[in-house]
Amino acid sequence: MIKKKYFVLIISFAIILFLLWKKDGSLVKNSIVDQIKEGKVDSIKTPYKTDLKKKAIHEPKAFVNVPSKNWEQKLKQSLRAQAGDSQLSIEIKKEKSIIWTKDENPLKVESVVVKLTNRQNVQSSFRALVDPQTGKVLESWDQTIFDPANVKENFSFKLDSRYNQ
Amino acid sequence: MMVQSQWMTKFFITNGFPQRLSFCLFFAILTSCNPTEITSSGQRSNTSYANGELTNMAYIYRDSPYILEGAQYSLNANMKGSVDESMPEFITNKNQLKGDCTLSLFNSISNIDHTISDCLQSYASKSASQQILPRKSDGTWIFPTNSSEFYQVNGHYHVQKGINTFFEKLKFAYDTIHFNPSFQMNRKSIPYYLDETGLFWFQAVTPSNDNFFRNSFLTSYNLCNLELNAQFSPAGPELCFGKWSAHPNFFFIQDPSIIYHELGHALIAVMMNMRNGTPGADPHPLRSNLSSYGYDESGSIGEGVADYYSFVMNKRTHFGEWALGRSVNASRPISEDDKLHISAVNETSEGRLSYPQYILYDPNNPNVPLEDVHYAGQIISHYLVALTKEFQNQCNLPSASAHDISTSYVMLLLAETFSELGDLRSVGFDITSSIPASPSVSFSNLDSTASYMWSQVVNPPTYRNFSQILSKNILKYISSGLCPNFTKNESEQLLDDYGLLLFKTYNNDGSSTKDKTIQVSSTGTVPASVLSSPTAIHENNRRKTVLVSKELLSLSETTTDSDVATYYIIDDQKNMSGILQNLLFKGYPMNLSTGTASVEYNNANIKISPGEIVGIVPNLYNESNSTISGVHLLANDWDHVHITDETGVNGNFSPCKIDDTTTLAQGAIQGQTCSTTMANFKRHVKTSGSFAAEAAAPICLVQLETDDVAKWVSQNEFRKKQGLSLQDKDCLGYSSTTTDEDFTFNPHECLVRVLPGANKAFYSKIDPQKSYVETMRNGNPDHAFGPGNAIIFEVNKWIPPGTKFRCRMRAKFSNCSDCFSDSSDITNDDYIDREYNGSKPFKIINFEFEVND
Repeated sequence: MIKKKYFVLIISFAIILFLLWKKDGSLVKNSIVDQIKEGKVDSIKTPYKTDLKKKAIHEPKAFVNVPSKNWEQKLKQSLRAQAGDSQLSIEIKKEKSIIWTKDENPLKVESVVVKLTNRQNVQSSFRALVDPQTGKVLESWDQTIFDPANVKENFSFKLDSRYNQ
Repeated sequence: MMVQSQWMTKFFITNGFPQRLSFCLFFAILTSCNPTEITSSGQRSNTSYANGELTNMAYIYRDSPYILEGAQYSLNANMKGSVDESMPEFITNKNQLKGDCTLSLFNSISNIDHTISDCLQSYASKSASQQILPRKSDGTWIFPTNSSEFYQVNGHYHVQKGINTFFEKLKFAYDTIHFNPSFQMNRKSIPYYLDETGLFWFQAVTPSNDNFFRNSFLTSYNLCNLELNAQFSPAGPELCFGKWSAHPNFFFIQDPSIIYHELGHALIAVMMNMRNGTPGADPHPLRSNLSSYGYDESGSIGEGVADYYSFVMNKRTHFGEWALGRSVNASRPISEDDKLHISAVNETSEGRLSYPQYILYDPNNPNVPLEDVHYAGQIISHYLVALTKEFQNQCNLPSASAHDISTSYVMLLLAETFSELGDLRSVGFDITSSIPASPSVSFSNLDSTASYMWSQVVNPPTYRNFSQILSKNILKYISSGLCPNFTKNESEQLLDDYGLLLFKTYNNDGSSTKDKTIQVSSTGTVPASVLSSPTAIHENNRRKTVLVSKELLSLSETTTDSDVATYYIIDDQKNMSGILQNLLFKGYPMNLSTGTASVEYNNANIKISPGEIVGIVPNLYNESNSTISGVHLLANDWDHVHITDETGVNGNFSPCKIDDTTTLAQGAIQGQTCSTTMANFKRHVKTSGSFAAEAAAPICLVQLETDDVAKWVSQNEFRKKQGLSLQDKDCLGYSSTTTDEDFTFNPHECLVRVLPGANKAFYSKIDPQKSYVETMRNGNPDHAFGPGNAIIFEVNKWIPPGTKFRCRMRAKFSNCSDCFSDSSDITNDDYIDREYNGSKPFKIINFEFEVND
């Protein structure tokens, strides 16, 4: 009977040890704290964390993206690829870091304002949520609304004349 | 003021000529030393300001020189004759050209002022060296006419006047819906907590460092470097008023109707986002807008309402006579009684500027169809002016304030409508006066995660849902309270005069976006046993508006006799680069693939070739005998497949059988997840390292030939089975590194993908028994199309020639009879938002092509 008690105690102790090891070990590495410790994620400076009284729209979980230090460069490269030689300048101004969920993936994203100046020296701007891992734009909004006097001068294209033959 | 006026009138009536002459001489002597005097140096004399009567004031022009001095006024404007020197106006009491925004709201006991300091700041141009204008040392803002300072002050005056008027209207709306006993039991969209969030402006949300915007003030650039153009940039936020280089003294700022129009865009942006923050919580990170990169009805509504705001401010039913009319003959009427209209347009039911008949109507050039948001927006502006006039005629308003009150009614309706349409928190309304409705159940725009996509791409504002929500609010606030004389029937008839009675019910049953059995009343969620039905319109009121079945929309069949193609390919480098560049400038970045596709591969052979980036204009055909209008073609991911992979490793799928095009024999399947529609929106990308069992898939399937059987499969399956052995790095959209996987990468669009940002197209109208291209060309083969008409695809350079694709696009349109409710539902209740994940509201457009060099 005593032996049986010792056996149960030893088994219980072993289970507790195992659970503790699992908690601190490499099997569970998804928490933000762990990722911050590993340097994969910067400490979170968003209002979601700084003001605990406030309720975040999306509570932070383990992020699936790993921010790159040169995300702004990647973003600019991507915008340049689309712009070709049409823009005199592309300015990116970071507004804030936020936590965002897309396709059920929790992400650390950057909210930026992009300002474009074209070859006619006309400016436009928009906001974008950017994946700081790839520099990809996840959403864009707040686009400029133009009200030209002559709307016929807006960009347009003609269909290929071979379709008419 | 009234007393003075009576005294002067009496003097002139009762006295003879000598007395009148002496009075005039006396008056002339007085005016000779009045403060408007310009000295030889061009500066106004300061001596007469000594008494401080003009402190913080200036003389301004109240309208454009076209209105004040005549249609032939010189383009070399000096504005001297336009300035009203009889009455100076308050500009600002600040040391710099800045103004405050004060919204006074009733709080059940008294009015409380809520002020945002320096909410408006005015400059000349965007030049980096530009300094904000200081007040003059004499305490006034009086600068030489036609100087840069003069235009800055005038621009500031008119913008501030427009802002102040908006806050008066918003106060009326807020106080009415929250404190008028008639409306206390209504669901309301203008939030009760508007004062706490500060979202009555482009305001920082508490705490002050948590900005929606970089700036919580609107900047007005009054002499902007824009050629014959004006703009509103919400990302500033800023207004910009351009010039005309050919006439160095011609500025858009000289035309206050333009100022009010641009400010109108800003106010729409405010109204659309009033619900996107609640006290004590972070605002939604994104913002709603009414705009797009080409023609669409969302942008048209924005232009129409902005034109209407010009009418609110100046009571004139014409817009832009000076800046648009005098320059390029492009001013716009805002009412049918305007002489610019063709004779068929008048204020009778038959003569109204109705939808879709006048959707392409440019009154300056009525014989040439023009697909443009500004001209299409005339239908909305004309309707709103007609509605205003109805209120003036039927609501027993005192004549002196009829314009003010009637426009307040309309602005109440617009504020309620826009705040519901733009709600990204997805609640849509509040059930009690003081508490934001629980976000655990959504009532608009699907849910707070997908709301931006729903409100801007999948189900954006159109003439149908705008008219429906506006009418719901007319029913709720006007016919049932403020003006019972304007009945439900009259409202429906007026809407029908404009061809806008595009809905069967008011969709006012409060159904949630994901479950029709969850409804909410003004007091909270109602039990399933007492679910209500939506209020129906009276079908007899639908006399002009014609609804057409979606089954009568299809892709054209290629014919040689009438030069009609099923679809048109844009694959020349010049046009394609131009489209991409234009879309970026308009704010639609696309994350182009690197190394697998590029316009450099475009070969202009009007075929879809490996490596190209191509624009496709699917040529939709109207088989009906009525016009189809407001066609919205979607090429975004949607719930049309059953995921057969149960391991989560590759996510391979089979297409659901949703029409007779993709048959069971061709690989389609029925049942399983094909029998339901997803409640949430999730693209078919990995989540936490594996593919989900149900997700929205890309639209393009690829044909896989095995054992003499051709099946439509996912691109991920094809690339591995067809002997291609394409690795991830050879796929479109791939940007991962060896260590970090890109969560946005979707192997199911490895070969062909629709570019994000160009995954929707819009077509204004399709004439009966015609294709879209035929309708627009109207006999002119050189007709030019806009970037909003094309869907843009990337084509992987590694695709073997001969590979066949089938892309399942979805189309709905504003005057559709069966796109918005189920024909088996006798209540005609609108589809809830989750249905827009699937096929029910849409006609499936199967776009097929073979990749060839």
